[in-house]
Amino acid sequence: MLNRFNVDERSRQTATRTAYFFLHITQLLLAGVLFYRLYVLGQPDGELRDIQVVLAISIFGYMGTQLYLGGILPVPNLKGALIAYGILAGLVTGVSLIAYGIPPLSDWANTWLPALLGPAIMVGLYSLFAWLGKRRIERQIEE
Amino acid sequence: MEDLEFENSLKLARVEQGMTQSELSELAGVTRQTIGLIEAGRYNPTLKLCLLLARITGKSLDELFWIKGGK
Repeated sequence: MLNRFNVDERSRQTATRTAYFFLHITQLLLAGVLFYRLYVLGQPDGELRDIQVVLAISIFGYMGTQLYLGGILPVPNLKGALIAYGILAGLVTGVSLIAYGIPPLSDWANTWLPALLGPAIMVGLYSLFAWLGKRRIERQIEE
Repeated sequence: MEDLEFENSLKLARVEQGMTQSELSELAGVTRQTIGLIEAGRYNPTLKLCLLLARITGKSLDELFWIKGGK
């Protein structure tokens, strides 16, 4: 159980808790940096793409892994997924319309497409990970 | 889940066997600090480690670990 680095179950548990705590602190700080640079310094969205990508990978990677390894979250049926999509897409579209007004149709690839496709990807990924996680746990129980 | 408190007689069992914390920790494959914290009731070991400690000290699991007020 003990290796040459003196790592046992307690030190692993401590490391896990510490990593969990600082992961969320890092995510919060990154989000803070993002908002500060975007709304206080007024930097263009395109210049913040690197931080956005890192933050998205961190948050969605964490949530996806939790969903998969946990295997306890409900897997939505088609009706549930459509309702969730409707709420999310409505929220994103509504907030964007209030904040920026109606965008020109010619700019649909940067406006309507992400607002409508983003929530679909989120709901789809959630359903996929929840289903995979549930299947993984049920396979382990059957073995 | 109810927040249960655990107690143990690891220190007594270890002394009965004439072992130091270091010797027990080496046999169990954990650090001496982990043994010290278990004895002080400051760390709840996994079932795997509980079983290992019970085997090393020659005790049964329920002789070594129990829920507070439930023995």
